[in-house]
Amino acid sequence: MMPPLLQVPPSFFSLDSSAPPDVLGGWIACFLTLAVFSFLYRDNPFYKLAEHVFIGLGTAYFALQYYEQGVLQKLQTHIVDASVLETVKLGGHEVPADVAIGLRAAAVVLSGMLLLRLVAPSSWAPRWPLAIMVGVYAALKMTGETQSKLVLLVGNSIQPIVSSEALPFGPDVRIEQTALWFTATKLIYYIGLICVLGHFVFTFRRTRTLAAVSRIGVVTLMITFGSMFGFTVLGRIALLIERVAMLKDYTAPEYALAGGTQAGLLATVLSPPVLLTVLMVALLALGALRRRERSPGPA
Amino acid sequence: MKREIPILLTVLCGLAVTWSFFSPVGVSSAMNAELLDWAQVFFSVAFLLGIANLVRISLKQVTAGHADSPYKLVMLAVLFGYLLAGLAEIHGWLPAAFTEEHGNKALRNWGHAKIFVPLQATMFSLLAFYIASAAFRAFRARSLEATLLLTAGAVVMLGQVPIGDELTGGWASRALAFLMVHVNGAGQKAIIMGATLGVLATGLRIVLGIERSYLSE
Amino acid sequence: MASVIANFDRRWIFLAVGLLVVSLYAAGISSELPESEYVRDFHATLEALPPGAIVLLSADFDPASAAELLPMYQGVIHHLFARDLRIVNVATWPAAPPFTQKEFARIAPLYGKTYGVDWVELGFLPGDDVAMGSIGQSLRSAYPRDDRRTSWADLPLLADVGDNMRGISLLITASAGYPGILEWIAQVGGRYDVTLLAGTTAVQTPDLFAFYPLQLKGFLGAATGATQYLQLAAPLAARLPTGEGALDEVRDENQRRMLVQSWAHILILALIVVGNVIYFRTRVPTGAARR
Repeated sequence: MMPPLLQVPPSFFSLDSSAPPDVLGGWIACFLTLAVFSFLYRDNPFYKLAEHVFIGLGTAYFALQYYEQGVLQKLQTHIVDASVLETVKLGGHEVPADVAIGLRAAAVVLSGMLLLRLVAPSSWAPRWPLAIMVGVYAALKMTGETQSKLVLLVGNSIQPIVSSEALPFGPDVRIEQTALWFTATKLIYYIGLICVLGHFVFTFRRTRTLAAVSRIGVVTLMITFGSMFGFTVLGRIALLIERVAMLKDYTAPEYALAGGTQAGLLATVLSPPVLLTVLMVALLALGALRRRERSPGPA
Repeated sequence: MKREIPILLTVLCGLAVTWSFFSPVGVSSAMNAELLDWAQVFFSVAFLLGIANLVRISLKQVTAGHADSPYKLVMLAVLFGYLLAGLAEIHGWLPAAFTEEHGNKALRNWGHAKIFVPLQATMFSLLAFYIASAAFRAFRARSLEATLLLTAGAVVMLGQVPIGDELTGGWASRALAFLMVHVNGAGQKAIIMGATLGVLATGLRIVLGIERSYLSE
Repeated sequence: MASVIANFDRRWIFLAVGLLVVSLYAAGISSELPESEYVRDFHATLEALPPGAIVLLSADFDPASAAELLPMYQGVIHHLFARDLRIVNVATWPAAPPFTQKEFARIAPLYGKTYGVDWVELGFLPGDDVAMGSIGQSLRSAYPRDDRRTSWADLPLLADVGDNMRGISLLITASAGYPGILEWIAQVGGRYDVTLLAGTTAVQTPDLFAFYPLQLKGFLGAATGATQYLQLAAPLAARLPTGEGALDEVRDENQRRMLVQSWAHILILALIVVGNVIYFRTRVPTGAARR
């Protein structure tokens, strides 16, 4: 969400990310947005350019983040900070600074072994840091997920079927507040939960009972997936609306080509979204005409 | 030994992290913290390896005269230009006056705000159009299951927006609440429990050294 | 007529969607939404914290999900500062920090908040689940310095934060996917005594019903949840020099977008119905039906 644009007029170029956006940045952002949208017509040079800029800048941005936070912060900063101390706290436990530095130096060596993959892909050296990473991740996932998504979740799934706070039927009472509704929905919940779990049991032969349980489980799963589909539609449309909102913000007269133009039709026409759309549509139409001339229809 | 040492490392580190879950004090806690830091470092270095691969493949395509060579060159120019600007900010190679006025993240944040954000946000917003197209061309109520799926989706789509209650006299949001809490909740719990059993089994296999597929070239 | 669907140029559908969204957005009509129970619980959990409590705020999103999550994030920062709660901001997605830096730079001065005392930005931590496990076990080990390279000794707020999430009353995440709220529940929620709240994208919202309300005290699901929450939080936000509330514009913008969303959903449903009608009227009967 951009701050109110009109409180401070934008400059032509500004690096201050908390100030109103700069004009040059605005034109670049609009061009790239419309270039990606042009893919809806067909693959074209605008889209290809935008796609490759995205890959290049995205890769570089992520690399800088991982370098600064994952390499410099964890290695250089840690070792430099530890070198002026007598003890260092690791996980709340005091260790001698020498030990802490030695351990982190070992990480530097192992990182170097990982980088050997660049020059010797089939070497044994990169496997050591990879093996450590796999072991740590596997153990962390296994313990955390088992506790939270199995033990605690099963415990929390056992809920009362009768409510002590439900209300009796009455003219001013919504059906969701009644005891009958509470019990009925809990039964639906338990049946759904047990039947979906039963559907995933493949170690027994499917008898009629198990097949019936599985069928109810499938019905529950279809409703679950349907709700996921409905939310997916919601999410995607929200992204599109935000892009339209961003383009609309750049139709403000401060961003128009003439610069400082008074609000009005001319300013809107010369604003980045409108002018760039017209230009792109014209160029794509020209390209379509040329393609048609080059490949005439069947005789 | 080329396979045995990595397997041993996986087992030892996996058991160390698992042990610290049950005994999160003292040396065990320190070892856990150090191993987690190591994993983050290796994770970051592995990502940096990916850049080298991208550059190598792109240069190969450019020298081979690939149809998209001009675009590949633009990509490499943007990649190295932004990397250089970012490294200059990180290591303080920029003039002090510039850093004092703009801070040490100005160039990176500008690229993020004016180039990366519009591109990534718009790429994902294209999905809205494709979902609309798929709604017409592909979403078919061919069976009971498909009909249930579409009906549930319709209830969610109407229940989440203001117009749903206006069209249904307030029933859309109530139907949504029932569906999401009682039916979807049950389904999601069962799916998560089942998936977690799989995570537990796979995790145990890796930590005990039984699963070794991650070592194959 | 079966060929109608196969031969229909889908670009006409793209155009219809585009024109609908642009025209309705330009019309600028908005509407209020009734708040869901889990949004009210989210709001109530924040309201129940005593002034001075420390909240760990995690930005787990990127530009592709900022449309849904950034308004939530703005609302939460306003709400936390309005209640004099202190914030430790982290990120497990690399593209999130520029968003959060910008928002804190804009919002903190409205409440007279001081960096290092009222809020701290620790920045991005790589490693996904490992990053979360590291933060949960020891924030100090995870972040030797903050995002501005300031040491812990120079940040008074962090003196009140200990290992194993001690000192942290609440963890709120704006979660777009992996890693996100599900991983926070696994790595932190089950192990440490900390309450969890989440704002999520639409795609992840159905998953959260499995954990609500016991492991997750409340959540904001998708743009709908964001709008509902902003309606609750806007009256609490600071007043601008112009007299209007600092969150009013964000709330009004989201309400406006929800109306566009409504008609887009109607269009999608209409396309499903029309597509199915054409399909069933033109499908060739199979097997016994054919005989």
